[in-house]
Amino acid sequence: MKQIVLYIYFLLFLVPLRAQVKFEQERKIAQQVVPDTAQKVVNEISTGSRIKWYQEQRLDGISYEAKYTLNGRRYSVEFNHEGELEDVEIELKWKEVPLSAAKAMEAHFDSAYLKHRLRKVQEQLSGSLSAIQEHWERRSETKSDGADEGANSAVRASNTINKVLLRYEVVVQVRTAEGAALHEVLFDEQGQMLQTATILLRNTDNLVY
Amino acid sequence: MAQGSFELGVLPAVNINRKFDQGWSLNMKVESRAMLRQPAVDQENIWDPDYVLTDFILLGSRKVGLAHSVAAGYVFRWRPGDNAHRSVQQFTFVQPLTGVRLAHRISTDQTFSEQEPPVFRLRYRLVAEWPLSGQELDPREPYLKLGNEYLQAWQATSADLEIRAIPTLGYAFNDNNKVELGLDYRINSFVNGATEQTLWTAVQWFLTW
Repeated sequence: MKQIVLYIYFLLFLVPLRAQVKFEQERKIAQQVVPDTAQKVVNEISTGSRIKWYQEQRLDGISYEAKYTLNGRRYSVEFNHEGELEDVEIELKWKEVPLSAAKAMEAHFDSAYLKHRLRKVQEQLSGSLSAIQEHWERRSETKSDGADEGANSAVRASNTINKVLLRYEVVVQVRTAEGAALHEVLFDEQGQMLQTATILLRNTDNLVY
Repeated sequence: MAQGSFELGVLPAVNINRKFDQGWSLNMKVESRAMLRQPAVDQENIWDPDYVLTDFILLGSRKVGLAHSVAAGYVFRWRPGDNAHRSVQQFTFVQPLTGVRLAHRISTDQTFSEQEPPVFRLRYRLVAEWPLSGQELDPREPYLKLGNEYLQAWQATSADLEIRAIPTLGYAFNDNNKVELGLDYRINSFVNGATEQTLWTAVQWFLTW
């Protein structure tokens, strides 16, 4: 019954906002209501950054998300309702994306759209916390240069051994035959497209009139 | 030195928007003004509630990009004893950033009435909107909006600059139904002549379908 009520709720309120992909609504919450295990993880990795906690209501239940900025880079750490780590998203600069993956993604954009402009790119990492941390330490050694193929290969090999699933989430402003749109495209580690969704922009009437 | 004036009033408005295919939309707005405190002849400012005017606004708009729109329309100003007609042209664009949306509006208008020379205005307005519980504005979420507008007006041989500051609290019942309560502070004639200041309490309902 709860699932049916939730489904109707999402259908009424959320589907019109962001069709096809994300059935979620986030609310800012106090740290105290977050499961202890999740708090402990974030306190450990955020090294004193100001953390903002959100509760997300999704079709499959509740999740918790911590967002913080460390050394000028935005991090987002997501947990399930029991406080178990689900994934970590780290905002990247485009030049930090390994060159081979970036080329594959660009090739996809060139073939799918008349014009495109990159708006945001994130690494999405799933796996154990220690494996994700090791991945990020290795990535940092590439000195923000996605063109270092040797270092990129080492990172990929390490990810395979440590069972880290790496994906890239790219928000891109595009022009198609139907007009302008904002797309969120998910790529695998090699830059092969996995999923594309249109982000429906929120109503701006109260901003322009 | 000329003595300035300070007026206080209320500004209720209903803002209705209808979306059509191909990025076309229609904006219909009715906004009234009632003065509560205003200058009296040979006296200090006094409390004197008084109806001032009602604007009936009709704007046709078309999207010209992902978040860019052009609009043009007509305003009928119903004012006891002196109605006015205004033509309006505007260009707007909205920047959705992380946790905030910025909206820029550049507009021109021309006002004609029987008792006054025509008024020509050039306006720029910047509005920032922050959701108060999360990074994107979701249904049943309050938000804060801060606006700042500069209006340069020319009438016959005179010119004047008006500056507005508009802090507002809003509540989104859903993406297409919002109410706002805020202040609209206006100051003009501060370069030459007696400074005029007006503080409006603005209440506005935005409805889109």
